[in-house]
Amino acid sequence: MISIKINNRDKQIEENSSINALLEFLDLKPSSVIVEVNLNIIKKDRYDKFILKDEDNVEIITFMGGG
Amino acid sequence: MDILKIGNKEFSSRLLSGTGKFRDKNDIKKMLEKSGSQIITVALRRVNLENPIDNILNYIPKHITLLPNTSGARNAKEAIRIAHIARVAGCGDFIKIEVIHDAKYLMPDNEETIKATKALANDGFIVLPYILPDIVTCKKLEDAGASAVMPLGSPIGSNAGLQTKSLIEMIIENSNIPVIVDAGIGLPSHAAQAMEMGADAVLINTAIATASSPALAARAFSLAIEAGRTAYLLKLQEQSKYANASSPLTGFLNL
Repeated sequence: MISIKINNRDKQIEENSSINALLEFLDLKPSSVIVEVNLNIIKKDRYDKFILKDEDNVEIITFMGGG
Repeated sequence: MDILKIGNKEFSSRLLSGTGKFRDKNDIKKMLEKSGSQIITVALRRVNLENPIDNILNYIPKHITLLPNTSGARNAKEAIRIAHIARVAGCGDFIKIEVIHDAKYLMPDNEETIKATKALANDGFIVLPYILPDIVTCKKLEDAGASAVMPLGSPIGSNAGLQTKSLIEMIIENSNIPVIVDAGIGLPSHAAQAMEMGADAVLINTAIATASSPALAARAFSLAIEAGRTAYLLKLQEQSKYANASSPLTGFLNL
């Protein structure tokens, strides 16, 4: 297991998890979110190959109503 | 055809709408259909992992131009970061800069907004900054590459109308880029007044989204905007202290 931060909360996940695997674990659709790792925006076509490392800081963002 | 040009895009509607506060997100599509609004704002937030909500983009037809805002940003740096996230997410190049750290009145920080505008315009964004109406700020924003300015009529969500009327008039008179009155428009008459003054467009969220029928409210606002715009183009605004009879004051019948 490795520890990462997701939206500022500590979380333990399996080693060698890709972003896609993380999103599946969290029950989130890749198409409906934007993912940043250590303040770098990760393009959707890399979600499968991008492997998370210990102490990564992950932000998962979505669009919501606003004026 | 009376066209509103913002950046590289042309619009026939002068009503910009928002997606906040809708009780039923399905009303957003109906509201857009009924009002003809072609530009809509959205916000970006962290997903609540315990209770993820639907992505608002699923409720917006594809032909509508998205105007993501940078709400939540407290300084230029944060606004710039949010703008880049929105662009990578496929929202296009339009961005409404909103830098706010005053929670009571939600007044924008004009100074940080100018900084963010400069950086984002240099990066190819179509920048629409939300500002406290100030003609000096507007000139600086124009120089910084803003594609429009969005002075507030009154505090966000207040429905209090054009409390900043004379300041907005100064901006309209001197601006070389579109002036979009944003925030505080609570009634169609407020929107009509802004358009009669010569504003290029208005942005309305709360008054439409919280109406008992958002679609009908949007229709009412869009009619008011059209009326106000037509009056402005016809220059129907001369005033006089004295009466000016509608019929000649001669040839009265002898009664």
